[in-house]
Amino acid sequence: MFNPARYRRLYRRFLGPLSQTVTITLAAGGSYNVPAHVSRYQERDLVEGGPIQLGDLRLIIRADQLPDALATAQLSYADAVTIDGREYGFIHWDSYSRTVGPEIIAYEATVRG
Amino acid sequence: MADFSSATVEYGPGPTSTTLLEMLKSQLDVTDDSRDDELALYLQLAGEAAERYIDNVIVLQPVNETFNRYRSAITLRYYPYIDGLTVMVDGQDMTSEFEVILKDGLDTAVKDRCGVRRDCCYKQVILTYNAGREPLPADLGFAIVQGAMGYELGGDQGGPASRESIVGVGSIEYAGASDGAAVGMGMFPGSAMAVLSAYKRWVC
Repeated sequence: MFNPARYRRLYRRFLGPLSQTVTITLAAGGSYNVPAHVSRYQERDLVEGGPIQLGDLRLIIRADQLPDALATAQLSYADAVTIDGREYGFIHWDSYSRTVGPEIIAYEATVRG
Repeated sequence: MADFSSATVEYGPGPTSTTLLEMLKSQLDVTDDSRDDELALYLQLAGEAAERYIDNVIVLQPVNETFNRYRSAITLRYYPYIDGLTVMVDGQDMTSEFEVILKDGLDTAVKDRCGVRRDCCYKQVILTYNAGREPLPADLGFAIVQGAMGYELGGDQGGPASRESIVGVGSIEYAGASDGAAVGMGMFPGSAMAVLSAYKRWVC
């Protein structure tokens, strides 16, 4: 039931048609076009005193579509992502929430701009 | 063995032709060839299950039947009959002595020419012929694709998924064991079973 291939298929089915191309630009150099699911956080996601603020965006990026240079990078606010022509900085880069055992199925990021 | 992944369906003006594998990939939004072998397996599983359910062949394929006693006429077991009838009688090729008679859309008979109720006609007969459909009717093709999707969407957990969800993205509800009047079976949803039932072989 909980095998990585099944979850990879699930994410492909969902994120295939629901993703859009965003451009991640590293402060250290390098720019990458990546398919990502982009959504706004909902009010229930906002916790008083928490790291997420109104207006922040959530990106979900399939691990098999992330360039190697980004998979090993620790993205910070200095690194930028351009979504629909607008630039955002990375608040949080999560490589643990969407995993099956040790295998990363997708990365989740919180960006602010 | 019949190959369900390359079986075709025709529809619309033109008509448009597509294979079951292409239909399945379109439904699953699979755009590359990396999973073709796996998806072909799902189509094969679904196709063979559908053939067992309707008790007949679906895609065009060679079939054979054996009879060990005399009959003045033989209703062919598999339909629709397409071509290629060969008749081996007691080990000899007697095809030229037989003819195919299409009685109606469903019942195809082979009748020997040597007379009614003459025991001399044969003791054992082996029929070989091609039966099935190519292209498939669109509804039948899509029913097989729906069965293949059942394997894709939960075959590793013993049954088709009823709901899939990704946090922060969305969820999809699938038809359950009973959607409307038709009841699902195995990996087939009720809507597919309704189609397959219309093709089921009934023996009076």
